[in-house]
Amino acid sequence: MGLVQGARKRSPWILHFDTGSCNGCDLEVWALLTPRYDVERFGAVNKANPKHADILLITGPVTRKCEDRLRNLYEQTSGPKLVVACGDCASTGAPFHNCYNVCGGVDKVIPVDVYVPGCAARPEALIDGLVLALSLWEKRMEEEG
Amino acid sequence: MDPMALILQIAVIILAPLAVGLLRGVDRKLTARMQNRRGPPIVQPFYDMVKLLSKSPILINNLQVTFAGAALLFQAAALALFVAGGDLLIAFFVSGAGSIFLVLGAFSVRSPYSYLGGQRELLAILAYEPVLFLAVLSLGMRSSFLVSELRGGLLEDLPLVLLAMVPVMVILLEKSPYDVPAAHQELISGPYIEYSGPYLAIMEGARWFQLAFVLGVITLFVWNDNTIVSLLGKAAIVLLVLFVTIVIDNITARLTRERMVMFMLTVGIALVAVNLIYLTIFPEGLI
Amino acid sequence: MFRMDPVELLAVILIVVPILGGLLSLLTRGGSGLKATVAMTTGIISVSSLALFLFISSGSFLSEIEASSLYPMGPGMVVVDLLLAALFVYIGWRIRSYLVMVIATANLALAILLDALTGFQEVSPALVIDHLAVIMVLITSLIGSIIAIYSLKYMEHDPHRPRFFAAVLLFLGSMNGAVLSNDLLWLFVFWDITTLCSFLLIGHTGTDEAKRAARWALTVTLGGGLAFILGTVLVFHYYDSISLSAFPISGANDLALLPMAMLSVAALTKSAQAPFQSWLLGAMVAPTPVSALLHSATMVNLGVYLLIRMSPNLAGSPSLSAAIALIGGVTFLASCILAITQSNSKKVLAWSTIGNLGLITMCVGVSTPLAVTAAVVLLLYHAISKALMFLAVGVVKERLESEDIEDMQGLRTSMPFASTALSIGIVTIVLPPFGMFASKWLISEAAVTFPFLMFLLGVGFAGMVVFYFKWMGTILSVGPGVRSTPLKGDTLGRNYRWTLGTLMAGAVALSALIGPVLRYLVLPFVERHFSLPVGTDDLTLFTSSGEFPVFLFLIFAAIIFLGLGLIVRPEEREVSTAYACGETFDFEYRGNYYLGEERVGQGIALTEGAGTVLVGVVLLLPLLLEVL
Repeated sequence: MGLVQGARKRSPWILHFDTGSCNGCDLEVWALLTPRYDVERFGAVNKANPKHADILLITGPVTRKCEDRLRNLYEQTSGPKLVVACGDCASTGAPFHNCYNVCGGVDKVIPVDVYVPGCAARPEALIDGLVLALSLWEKRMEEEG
Repeated sequence: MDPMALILQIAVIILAPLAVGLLRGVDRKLTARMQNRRGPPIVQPFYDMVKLLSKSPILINNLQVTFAGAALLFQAAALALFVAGGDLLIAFFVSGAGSIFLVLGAFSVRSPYSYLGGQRELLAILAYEPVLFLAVLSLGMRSSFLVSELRGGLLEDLPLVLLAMVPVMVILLEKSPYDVPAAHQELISGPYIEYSGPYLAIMEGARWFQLAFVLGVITLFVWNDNTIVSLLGKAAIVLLVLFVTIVIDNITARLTRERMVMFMLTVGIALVAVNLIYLTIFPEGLI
Repeated sequence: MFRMDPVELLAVILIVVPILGGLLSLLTRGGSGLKATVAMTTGIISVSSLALFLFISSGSFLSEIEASSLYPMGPGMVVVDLLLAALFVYIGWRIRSYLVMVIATANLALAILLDALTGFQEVSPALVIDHLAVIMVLITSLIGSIIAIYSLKYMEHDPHRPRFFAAVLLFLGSMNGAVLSNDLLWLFVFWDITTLCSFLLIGHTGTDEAKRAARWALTVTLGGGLAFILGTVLVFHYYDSISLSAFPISGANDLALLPMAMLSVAALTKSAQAPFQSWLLGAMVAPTPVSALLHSATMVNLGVYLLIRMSPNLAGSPSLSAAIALIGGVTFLASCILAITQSNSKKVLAWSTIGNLGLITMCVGVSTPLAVTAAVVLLLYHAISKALMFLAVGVVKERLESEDIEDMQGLRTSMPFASTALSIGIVTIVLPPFGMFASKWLISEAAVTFPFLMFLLGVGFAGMVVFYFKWMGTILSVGPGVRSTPLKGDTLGRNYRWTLGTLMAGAVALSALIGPVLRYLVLPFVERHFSLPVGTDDLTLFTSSGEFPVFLFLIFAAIIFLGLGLIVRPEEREVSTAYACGETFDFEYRGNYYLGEERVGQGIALTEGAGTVLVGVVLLLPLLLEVL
């Protein structure tokens, strides 16, 4: 089991999905892949595909248009999986929380494991959130039996 | 058959794909360094593999899994035939069948990206198979197609054929400019997209076996009567081809599928042709 | 006179019974009488062909039959020959084609000239039954019978059934006659009867398109017939006898090559090689069983049969055989590329047939022992797989009323039986370790002696993979969670199930039996003229420079497809939907055919141009050699 846990912690594949963000947080997520922050040194790869992903990085408040799509993507991700809400909007809906066309934060639609605050969330904070998410694998495994 | 030789062959069949896994780790590390990044550890592909195997399976229909299994087993059979000293041509065709199963697996699910990926993978086959086929034939035409009887002096005679193998490796390793089927930015891993968890691991395994076979073909170019020199030479040629591929990957952007097919069917084939023509004129070789 | 030995009797049955059956079916009114006639005839020729095979492989390896023991047939042939030529003139007048009339008149004149030259002399022996002839008879009689039985259902509602079956049975009889004949005049008569039958069958539906296609097919193949009779006259002039066995094995050079060059061109028209391929493509308007018949059991096989028959003779003249090899190679390459651009399944199959016949032609041209073996193996395995695919397309067309590949999406769920048949057809044509793969391997090894062909082969094989698997992928493509309907649940009629099932079982079984097939059928023929190229211990094939463990791979393939199918039983909760950026609606799919009509036209023109030049070379080569 140690081997599997170890491998899992060292190989988090990412799906980045924008549910209606202003693109501020998106730019910071993309910055993670640049030489300065280089998350690939943790084995993280942006797979852009729920079928291959382990961790969903969601940016932006969830608009009503995006609600079904987000749920669909979440269901298409094979378990065990983790969701990281990146930035204030994704965490709570922030200024858009009571807009007529917005559901609110990501946790209104799918369960969220880690909330990363910030407008926009800084890359360092995102890495921090990612590492925190990785430490949740064991807890997640216990939950799923 | 000599039991020691048999054990050795089985060991090679198991170790060769693992070595390919390690080479893919080296590849990612080197690419990262070339981009001024730190990059993942060299054993990263094995972490990925173990993780994929431990994930819960999701599939669209079971035909998909049959084809994944078929791809893996055919590629493994091709490698086994190669290591056991069998017919190189048969091994090539069997490996080709393995890549056809990859296409069929991609087509068998009704998914837009997978479908496009399948179509493009077919074009990739159209691009690299003729060159690989010609390389295999020109290796065999000197003496025999049996790997166990292929001996000596091929690099001196067939340098341009080896050169033609470089774009083949570019396509097989899914590198720019010819990472057309799996095109990460547009098709998000194309034919592989509907495989997840353990099934993706099977497909990745199939790819390791396929690369092990094709790299095996490349090792045939080097031969020395001294076993150690021979092995070192083989390792060196594989690493060299890989390094060139990585450099090409990092200095080019992806081209269209038409460009890929046209390049391989003109330049790729012409390289082999020129090599064979001068070999006919100067049977002793140029070097 | 009636004391015949069994082999003679079987040979006569194989020729005469289908012809009589054909005449008899004209007398029926298309009901059960027709069914009984067709069933009886096909039953008799199937059994006779198997019996002939047993006699030949167990006893004498070669059986020769004198014309005298077939008394009325000898003079009868001369009469039939002249009548046929006159009939073609009449047909030319009826269809208002002056070209056909001119060719037919020339045919008639040459036939009379030939008779005058030979003075009705009888050729000894008139019929020769060797292993190649037996292979051809087996293909024609068994596969042809299956197609005829299938047509009983397919043509159920056709008002002109008797005429149709008369032509089909006559076709089978004349094919058998042609491959058994040693007398070139006899061969020519049967050759012309196949031309007549194909004309009748292609034009059967009577639509304008069908009439045009039939007319063109007649023009081209009758032109081939003209080359044939001209070749025959020249054969008599140079070799003093019009028997196939009188051809010089080697040493025929200079002008003495001309007859063989003529006969080769005749063969190329029959086998629809570039530049003559257009008649076969046009013939796709005919009902599907006709296509199956033309492509697998009869017609096109006759051309390559003649080439294979002449291969020992061609082997002695490298320049002529090189030109023939190039025609085959160019045809193969072009057809594999052009097939990618077609979305009509019958067009794809037609190009694929042309390509495979090109491979056979190429092998004959290479004319090493290995290549000739490959040619015969390819002929045999291609026939069965292609018949299977055409008949399956026919079934699909009947249900979908379309033969377009794009309409076959997800066919796996709606027509499991037909899609299994199509898949098995494709797999046995392309993938190792099935039948045609063995010949593909032999061809590749043989091509090493003629390196230019390697390049044509490499691209051609890859093109073949593209067009076949694009098609198979379309058939297999089904949405999430859909399970294939089990074969039992298919509502396909009993006739179709049995005919398709027999061909599927046959295609797979023959692949497994490639060792014995080589040993008892193919190699005895090759061995008579060449040194033995391929060894077999029934489980593995050996050549001088390679080996192919057929049986090992067959077991391997069986384990994969039966084993994995049984083991992998996903639970419902594992089934997910396809990724489409979070969307869930069904997408419209459309295959890619890469080249537009304009480029395809250019490709065809280029192919025909290259073919014309090469055919010109074949015809002029003897003259050139003479002059030089």
